[in-house]
Amino acid sequence: MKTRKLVALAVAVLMLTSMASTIAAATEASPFPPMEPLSPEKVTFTAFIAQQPTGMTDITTNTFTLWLESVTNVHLDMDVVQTDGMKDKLTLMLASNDYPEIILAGAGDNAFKIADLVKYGTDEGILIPLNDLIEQYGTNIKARWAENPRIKEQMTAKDGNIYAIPSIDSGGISHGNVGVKLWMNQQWLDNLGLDMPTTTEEFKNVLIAFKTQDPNGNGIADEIPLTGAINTWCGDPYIFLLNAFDYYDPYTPIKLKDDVISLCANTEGFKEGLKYIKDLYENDLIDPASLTQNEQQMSAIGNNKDAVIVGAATCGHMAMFIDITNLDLSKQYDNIFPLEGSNGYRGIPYTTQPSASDFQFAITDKCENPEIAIQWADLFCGEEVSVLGSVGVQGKQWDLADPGTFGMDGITTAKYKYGEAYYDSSADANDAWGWALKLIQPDYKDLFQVDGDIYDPSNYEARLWQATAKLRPYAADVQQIPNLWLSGDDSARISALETPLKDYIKTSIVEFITGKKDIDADWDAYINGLNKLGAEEYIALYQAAYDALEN
Amino acid sequence: MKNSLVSNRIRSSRIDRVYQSFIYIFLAVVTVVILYPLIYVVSCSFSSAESLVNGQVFFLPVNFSLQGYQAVFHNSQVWTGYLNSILYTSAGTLIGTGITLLGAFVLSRPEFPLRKFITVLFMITMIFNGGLLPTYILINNLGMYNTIWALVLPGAFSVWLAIIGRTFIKSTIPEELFEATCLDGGNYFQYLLKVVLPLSKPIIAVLALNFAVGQWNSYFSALVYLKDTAKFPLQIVLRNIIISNIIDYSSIGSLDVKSLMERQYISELLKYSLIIVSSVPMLILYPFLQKYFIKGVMVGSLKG
Repeated sequence: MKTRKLVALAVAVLMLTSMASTIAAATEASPFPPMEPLSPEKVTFTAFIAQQPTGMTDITTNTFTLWLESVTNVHLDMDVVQTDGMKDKLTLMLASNDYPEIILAGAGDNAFKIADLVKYGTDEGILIPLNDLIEQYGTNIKARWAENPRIKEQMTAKDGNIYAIPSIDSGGISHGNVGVKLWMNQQWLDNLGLDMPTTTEEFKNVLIAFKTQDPNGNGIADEIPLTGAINTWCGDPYIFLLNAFDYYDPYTPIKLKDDVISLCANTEGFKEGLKYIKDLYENDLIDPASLTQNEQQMSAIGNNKDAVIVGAATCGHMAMFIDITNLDLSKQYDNIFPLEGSNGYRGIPYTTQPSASDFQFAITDKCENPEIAIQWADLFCGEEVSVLGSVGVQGKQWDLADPGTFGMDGITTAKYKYGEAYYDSSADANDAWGWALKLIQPDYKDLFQVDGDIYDPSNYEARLWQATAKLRPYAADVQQIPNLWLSGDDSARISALETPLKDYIKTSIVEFITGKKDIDADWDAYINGLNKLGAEEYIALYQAAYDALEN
Repeated sequence: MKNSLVSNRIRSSRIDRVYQSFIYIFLAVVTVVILYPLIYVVSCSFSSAESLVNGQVFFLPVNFSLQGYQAVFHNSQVWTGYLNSILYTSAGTLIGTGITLLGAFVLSRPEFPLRKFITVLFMITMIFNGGLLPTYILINNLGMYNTIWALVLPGAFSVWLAIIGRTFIKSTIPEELFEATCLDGGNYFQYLLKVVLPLSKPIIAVLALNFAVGQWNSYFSALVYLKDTAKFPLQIVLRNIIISNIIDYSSIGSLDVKSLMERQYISELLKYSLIIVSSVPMLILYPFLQKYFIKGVMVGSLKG
């Protein structure tokens, strides 16, 4: 028995050393300083982790998983769950008192939300406070805090503790900062000798011209002046247009201005916006299908085979409605600036500050080596692990930049460049973690070189970056709503009120536009409906929580 | 058959003919409604991703391509998932059918004194159950977490299938056979194995098909009770690829362009071929069991 164990150990050591040497050989040209192992002996953590549907086939054999283990000496005994349904399993584990040492919650809806942190951190004490650990070991985290102190504020719960590390873009410009974009066919504008519209009046005239003057030149009136899609990222055509009259955020019915929280969907500007959109709709300038179709259907008309038929489309990024590998098509479209409404308003919802709403990394009270766990997480807030974890393997998905090239903003000297494999979205890729775990990443994306044609699909992110950067001056004059750290009861009440309220607003907008409800005659009934659904209580709860936070 | 044709020719009035043509039209519509989505999915799975995105597929494959299938079978998890699903399905079907049949047999014996009481107990579990959390804790404490048993054992006894089975045995196997067995010196086990089982083929087929389909399609217990990627059944892999492609755009800030594009591409490319790949085993299995299936359910449903 003993000899067998010894043999096994010897084999294991041999395998490890050979693995280490091949890895060392592969990373010879690595731009990063060699990493110190986090522990002299191998440490194992039980970890809950989500396997993402893209970019990895098996997280336990993923190249990045193996690399990270070899350099840190930290092994994760993974409890793997697929993203769909992971929140259910996590809830079960935490409720059954049978949970792992560290929790790597997923992205988006599957991440820890504020309410979860209040519940499992403040109330139940399952998640341990990370403040002291970060203070002592979190070199990278503290560096990110120094770059933007707001991140720390956003992470700290009302009780003063930090229970989890969020997934966050550390400020800077990312195309996700603005979803409310309208992509217009510049080619058509040129064909008709029109300028890019800047006011709602000009915009209407452009749409009329698109509809009546045959801008695609095929002699058939097949043009769709403006289209969009529902249930997707800012696809509803009215979102962009409402923002020409007053602030309207599709993801929350409220706004914060001068420390006052108020509803967006009952203002005079909102009403005026509806009238304007209804006018466009009645004149057949808005595709009626855009109020019912999904993203796939929108992209079907965007990529129409015989002729380009879409004049303008509303959606978060243009690949949602056209195939960007079709350069002829892709070059025709560009996003326009926010429109100035007849009431003089001009602005766009723009996330100017990093906001931490998705928390991904937490340590539970079962963890035996929290100081190693926090150092492990801290790596994800540094450049090396961000690049290797999110992009992939050097020489494959990325490499060192060519000398004299620049990053996305055109000013920063580029440090890396993407490799061929990065754009190969094949189903069997297994080199990176993607968004399985992304913490407070430094702005490494800006360091990737952009050269050649900006319309090339490989430069798509840079193109979106530029499309977003130019909107920066039009960021709406509102404050970003901070994390309010609501108590369990309040947050349950708010979400109970929010869903019907949001649905009601959405349905009413469509009814007003299509003429099912009259904007003037039915306006009071609509406002009454809002109040019946508890809009006032909803606002009051938010306001109270905000005031409590500020004082 | 011939008779009815003859009588039709002679006796069918105009009303009859109108009535019949309505039935045919109605059935044709039903057939189209059921068949079209199937054909559409098959056609999509053989079309190129491009023509899918462009919305060109309506009925037959456009730009025939095996891209989707290649991508599916390149994904190593699809393969392990397939094997696991076959394992779980066979084990689950075997165990489930066995246990349920035993229960059905016992409940069908009139001389068993606690028959009524136990049936009531079983019925209670149809309406009330322990809830997710207690079940989860129980499975964990039984040491079944991350093993095949967590998927196969908890649902192995199905009350409603047992009731169908009981009714079948009661109503189709004459009591005289039991008396004959006794006279020949047989006991309950011999009666069950040598008499009841051979006469219960239709109901066994019903149970087997129900358990097989249930196991093949089930994903929630695998989601909750398995932790190793190597043990995931096909449905988990599948759901992950198909369902997770619905993007939560409100937290778009943390998602980069590459993930967005990948998800669009993968969902379009893989969706349909995955559906086909995962349905094929059940489609193959069904015709073989179908004749028993309909017969068995009909018989079992009588005299409940």
